[in-house]
Amino acid sequence: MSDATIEVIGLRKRFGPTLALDGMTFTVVPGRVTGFVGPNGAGKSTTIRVILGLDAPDEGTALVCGQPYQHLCHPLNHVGALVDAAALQPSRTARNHLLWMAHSQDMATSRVDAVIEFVGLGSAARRKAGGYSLGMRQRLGIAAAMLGDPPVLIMDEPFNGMDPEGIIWMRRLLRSFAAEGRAILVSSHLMSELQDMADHVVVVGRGRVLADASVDELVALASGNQVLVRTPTPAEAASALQRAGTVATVIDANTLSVSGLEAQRVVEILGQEHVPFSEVTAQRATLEDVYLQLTTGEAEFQVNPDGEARP
Amino acid sequence: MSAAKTPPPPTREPRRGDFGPVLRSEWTKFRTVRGWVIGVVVVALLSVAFTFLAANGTHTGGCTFNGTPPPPGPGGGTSGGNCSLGHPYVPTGPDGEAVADSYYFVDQPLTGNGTITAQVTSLTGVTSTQSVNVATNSTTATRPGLAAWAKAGILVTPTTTQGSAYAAAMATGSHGVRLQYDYTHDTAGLPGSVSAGSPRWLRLTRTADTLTAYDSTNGTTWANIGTAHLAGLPPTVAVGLFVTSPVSFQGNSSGAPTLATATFDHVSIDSHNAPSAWRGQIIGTGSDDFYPTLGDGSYHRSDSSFVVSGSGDIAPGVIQGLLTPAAGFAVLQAVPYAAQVSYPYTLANGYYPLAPWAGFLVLCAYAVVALAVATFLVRRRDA
Repeated sequence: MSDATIEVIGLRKRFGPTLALDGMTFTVVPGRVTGFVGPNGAGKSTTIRVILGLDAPDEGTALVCGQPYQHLCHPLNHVGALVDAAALQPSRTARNHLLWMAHSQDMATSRVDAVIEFVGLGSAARRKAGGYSLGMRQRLGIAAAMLGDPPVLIMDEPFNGMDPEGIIWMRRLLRSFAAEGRAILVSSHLMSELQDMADHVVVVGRGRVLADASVDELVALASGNQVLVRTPTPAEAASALQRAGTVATVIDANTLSVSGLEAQRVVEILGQEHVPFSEVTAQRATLEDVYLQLTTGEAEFQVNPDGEARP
Repeated sequence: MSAAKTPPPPTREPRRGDFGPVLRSEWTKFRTVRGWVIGVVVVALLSVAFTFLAANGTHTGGCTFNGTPPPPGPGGGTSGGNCSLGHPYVPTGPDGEAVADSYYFVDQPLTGNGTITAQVTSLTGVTSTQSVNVATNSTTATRPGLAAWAKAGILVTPTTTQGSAYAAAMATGSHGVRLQYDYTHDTAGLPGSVSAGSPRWLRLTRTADTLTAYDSTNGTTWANIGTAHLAGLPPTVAVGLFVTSPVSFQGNSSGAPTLATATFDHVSIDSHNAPSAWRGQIIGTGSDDFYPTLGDGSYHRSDSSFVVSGSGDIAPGVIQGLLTPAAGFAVLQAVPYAAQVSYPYTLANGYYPLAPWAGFLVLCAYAVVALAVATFLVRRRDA
């Protein structure tokens, strides 16, 4: 398989007494942004380091485009990575930083100028990288990752230190990369950063995959078809809904929670029964909610190999 | 950025990038950090400057002599050989090694076979109070003190040119009687030091190019010390009394020149020649000679009794191994090692214990070992 993918298969790695990776398994497919989330210490960075050949796993394999990273002849043409944007020689200019990388893979100097313009650092290219803000370093890291125009991109916490404008730019960029058919893996410890950007999410904790599903599936799972009704007479509304065969719970003096019914159906029932209400809202869980549920109660969701979650 | 990403062509067998691009990449890495470039240039300049200073400070530098006539005598300038001003003259021994050959010689010619005999009744010395690098070859304040390797005795040599072959029987400051020849050979005779109450008799007998040395405490009972073969010894040689006294490092770590004075009695030459006049000669104590001396020395004769003083050394050169990275300094080759010379054989004193190529190879070996260790450590750990 030499498609533009990342395959992580049964990775195990122990650092002394700590089990960093405990059977980590997932696949990143081309054409979409895959979020890689989990609390600090869940094994995200270690997994990425193993994928990039920076760490050797005790067990398991990680393949990029169907090959272990070490077997790639010109790796920058296969996979671009942003792992630690701060890790650069501070007294070298951004352009020279990219230049030595390009030279190591026999790339033309013109490629350096192209990517540096692409990430919007053209005017700062000949300044020392040590004077860059963290956001500028992230852009430089993206430029380095894009040097070889690779089909696979790996970003470890790319939003760290970025200003809102930068975050929007980064999201748009990663989405456009995915639209070009690249496989994108973006790690983050904040689920909210991935909202509206990731198509697919791999949630990890304690070195294992807790959930591997599309964003829509995850959100639907966590939401559980809850509908909130605002009404001056919650007791009447509750009995009306119960007569229609649903479970309704009075939450406070003017709020009612209904589960198992579409919001539109709730409106119909309340209308038929002439119960007054001011608002009916389908409650959508955020990715954040899903994440919290997953990482606090780890066994709550089991995911089958097809990636379809079930309660 | 093109649409519909497909990976580049399949990879070859497991391997790192090609060497050329990697080398170019490392060069780009290096040259684009100004501090690194400046640092390396400064280190290179310092190395050159250090080498230059070390070489100049240790009396070396292309002024050796092989076969052709030596520069004119003491103080006579540096027109001979390949010597130039600022490079003191270092003589070369019969085997091509650098030697010290500075002494006072009272001699006469000897043609054919013969024997020279002398009784040494006293050997005393003085040491300069100033170290060699303060006052070289000048009579300054002195204190009593006989160098351990001060030498007084009888000597046979084809010429008085520095670095020429020789054989000598001698009393020394504190190493007893010795037979030494051609700088590298040293045989012990009677132990103990010389005094009026305990004199030493010395004898050298020449038979063709063989010289046999004897010593005695009374002039009647003789013991054979050893034999020296000086190949190609001409029919006429110079024989006589010599005194020399080397730089002493006793109580002066940078070394102080010394002067020894010996009293000889019963000096006789037994040969078929008609007797010749004695003449005193200063050998290798000129301002261009590298070996530091305390005055030129002199002699006084009364019948068969002589009082001779001299300064310098007739020093052999032996090379020994030493296996530290500092071996690389051997390319300077300033001072050779000799067991017969009391000298602090340290780098600071210009002593590099290996042949130039051997020293360089040792340094290279260290570089290879360091590279191997680095390779092992890098391979072993996660990147």
